[in-house]
Amino acid sequence: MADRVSEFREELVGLLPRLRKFARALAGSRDGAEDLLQSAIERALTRSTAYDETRRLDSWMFKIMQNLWIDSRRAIAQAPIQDMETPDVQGEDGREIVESREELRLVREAFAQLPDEQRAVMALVVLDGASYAEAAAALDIPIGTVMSRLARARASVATRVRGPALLAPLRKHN
Amino acid sequence: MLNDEVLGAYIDDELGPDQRGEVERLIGESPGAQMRLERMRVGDAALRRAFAAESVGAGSDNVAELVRRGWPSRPATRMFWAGSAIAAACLLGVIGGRLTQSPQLGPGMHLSPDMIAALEYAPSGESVAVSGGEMEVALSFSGESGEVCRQYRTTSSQQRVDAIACRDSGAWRIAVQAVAVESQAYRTAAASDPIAATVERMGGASVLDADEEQTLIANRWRAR
Repeated sequence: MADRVSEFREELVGLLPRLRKFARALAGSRDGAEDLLQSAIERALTRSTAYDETRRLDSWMFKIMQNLWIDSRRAIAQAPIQDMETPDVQGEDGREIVESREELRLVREAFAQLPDEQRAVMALVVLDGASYAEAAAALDIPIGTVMSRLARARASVATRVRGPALLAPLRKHN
Repeated sequence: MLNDEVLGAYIDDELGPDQRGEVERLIGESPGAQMRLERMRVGDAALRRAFAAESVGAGSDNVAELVRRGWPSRPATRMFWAGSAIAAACLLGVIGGRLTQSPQLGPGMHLSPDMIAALEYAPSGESVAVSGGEMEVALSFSGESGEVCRQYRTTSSQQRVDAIACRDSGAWRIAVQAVAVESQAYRTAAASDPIAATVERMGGASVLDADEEQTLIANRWRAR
């Protein structure tokens, strides 16, 4: 029994980077994400006996985290999530750094403004690399819903990035 | 039809070999689909960069140690609830400011009857012939105050124009446009990056999916 508990905890530790990234995707701020992560782990540990070992632990944790996030959002009357902090971008050309920081800010802002359910799907598929079936299992939704939410999320994020996209076609003369 | 869900499944390698081959063939025949596909890829890459740029592992040692040793009980009040409430108050102030702004019409911007027809009836991704060239609506979106707009590109032998037109009192009006004279250089009468600035002023865009767009087209763009 003690071995199983230990194995469960070690498996949980192995998932921490992915869980932290998912928490950051949902909560936006670093502090909010860390607290959401810790709440999810606390819940998982206190309810570990309810964990169905035939189910993937990552899916179970993603689901716990999303439920906690939804509960917290309901508690504050559907308030928008906190704007994400923009990290430093490495580079030698000062202008490129400014442009990259601006692009990252816009992308983060667009991502933060997505509805919760779209943000969760995009985080799992695009950031975590989950298959549609894995994302559907983790979020307890049909694969068709994963596809539609993902399409809408991608379209919203794409409106804010530079490149060949129509919504950001403009470049200044050098 | 190559909608965004299919293109997404193509990017995510969720199609079977036969489906993938067929989708690749259709993409090859559709410049609009190629543009939408590239837009998705650029967006995905930017999002991954945004998250990769931060120190994801920070703090993991402490949490990992707590997981291994057992978790101490914590106060019922969650920090992230309080943090979100504060953020909500701040953001509501920002949104309130944005609601007072709307896209401004620029001088000399004109929609021909066939362009109006394209805005009215053409689904996103479909190229239609207009006088002097082609026009393709890239996407439809709604702003925070509910206005519906479409972004489109017109291409002629002389120039390429990217623009946003919004539905206003039953008519389409151009909110912003920019003329590309070369592949990488654009000139515009407005401030730099006016299309992105226009979307920004609208408080961000909520892109309509194919079904929502089709419903609006069928209803002649009257409110859903």
